[in-house]
Amino acid sequence: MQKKLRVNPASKITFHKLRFSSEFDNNEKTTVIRWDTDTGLTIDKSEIEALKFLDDGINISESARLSGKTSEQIYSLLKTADSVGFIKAIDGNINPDITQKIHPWFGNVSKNYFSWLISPLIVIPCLMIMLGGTVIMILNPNYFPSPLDFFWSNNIFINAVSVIIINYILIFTHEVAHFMTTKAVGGQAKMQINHHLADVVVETEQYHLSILPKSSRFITYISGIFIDCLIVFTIFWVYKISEYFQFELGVIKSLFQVVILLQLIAIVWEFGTFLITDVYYFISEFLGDEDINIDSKKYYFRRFSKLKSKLFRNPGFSLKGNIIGRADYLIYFLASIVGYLGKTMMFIFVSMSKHILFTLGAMLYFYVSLTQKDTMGILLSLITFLLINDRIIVLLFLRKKHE
Amino acid sequence: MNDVAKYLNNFFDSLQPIMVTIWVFFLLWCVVVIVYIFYVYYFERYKIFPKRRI
Repeated sequence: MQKKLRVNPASKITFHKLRFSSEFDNNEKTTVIRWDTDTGLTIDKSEIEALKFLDDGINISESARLSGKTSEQIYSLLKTADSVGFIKAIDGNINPDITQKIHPWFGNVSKNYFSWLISPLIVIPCLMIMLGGTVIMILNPNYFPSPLDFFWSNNIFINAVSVIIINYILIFTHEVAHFMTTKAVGGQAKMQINHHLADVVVETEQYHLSILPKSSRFITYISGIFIDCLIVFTIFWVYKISEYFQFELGVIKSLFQVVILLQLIAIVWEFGTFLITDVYYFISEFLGDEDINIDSKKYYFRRFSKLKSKLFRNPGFSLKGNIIGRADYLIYFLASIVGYLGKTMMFIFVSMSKHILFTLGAMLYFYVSLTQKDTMGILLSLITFLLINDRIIVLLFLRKKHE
Repeated sequence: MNDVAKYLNNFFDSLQPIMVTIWVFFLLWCVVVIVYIFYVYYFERYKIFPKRRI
């Protein structure tokens, strides 16, 4: 519903707290957001000036004169600004607020507490650990775990519990990395549990990123996979050191193997761009198209039907120069294919085998407990089944939240 | 021991553990699959993901 703004040339506008981006894009446009709702506009330089004059308490006609615009242009600008909830009051009369407030975590904590995280003093040693870890991994392929390493103890229940606990700790670490880097570059964020189709995910909702430079956004997207890789390569370092000084890691090594396996699943999962993951945001930011998943789908659908009709009408039609089309969509398409393939391979060789082996293990435990009339064993085997299907329980809780 | 208890005892003794195991886990698995299908197709048919959630 469109509401009418009651303004006249002498009106003075009070805005909510606004923040302006310092970066301009190719069309000389920049972004302005309202701080407490993260709603934003993309406008050009003169409009920014006009908004700033209005924000300083100068009336509409005077702001129009100072920014070199007509009053009509200012009215239309104000109308747009009102549609995203920028206007707090007009001549002291409170303007009804249509937008929803954001609730970031640690909203009042300054970014200075987090910015050390992305300083070269931290990042460069981490990169060196990862580089060394890569060399260790290549030279010692036997460090690499197999899916059977999920079953490090004789008891299937203990295996399931260890996998669940480690998995949630790793997911939390990944999200904390996103959260802290978002704070470090000057944005705000909060963590929440959601689902992408039937996949339960813990995600970090980021705010105020649109007024930050592109490089900051890349840092926040990449931080999750960065910490995942760092954990894996640190473990390879620990293996190498333990081998060199000849001490046994014992049960710690079994747990480390589980960590590596779960991290591998997580890293490959991020490459499934169709689930709108970190890698998806990275690519879409890189190619400068926020909705590249939808745009590329439409583009290829249209292109394919066009080519088909041309081919049928004109048998001598040459495909040369028509195959590739737009480079950005092609990059996204290829990245998606790699993501699909990676995810499928990981699903077949690790996730699915893990799930089937755990289910069979739980069944065997149940059977043995039944023959020995061991009530505790029956209970634990059923709990094991629930634990390996933990996502279904989370999904059931999420459904309530969305209704 | 009354008749009901006797009947129940006979019933549980006649069950074969392997069949019980297969049935219990088959039914549990069915529950999981049904919940997934129910969830995906009835409540979240198609969802456009909100921006910047990683």
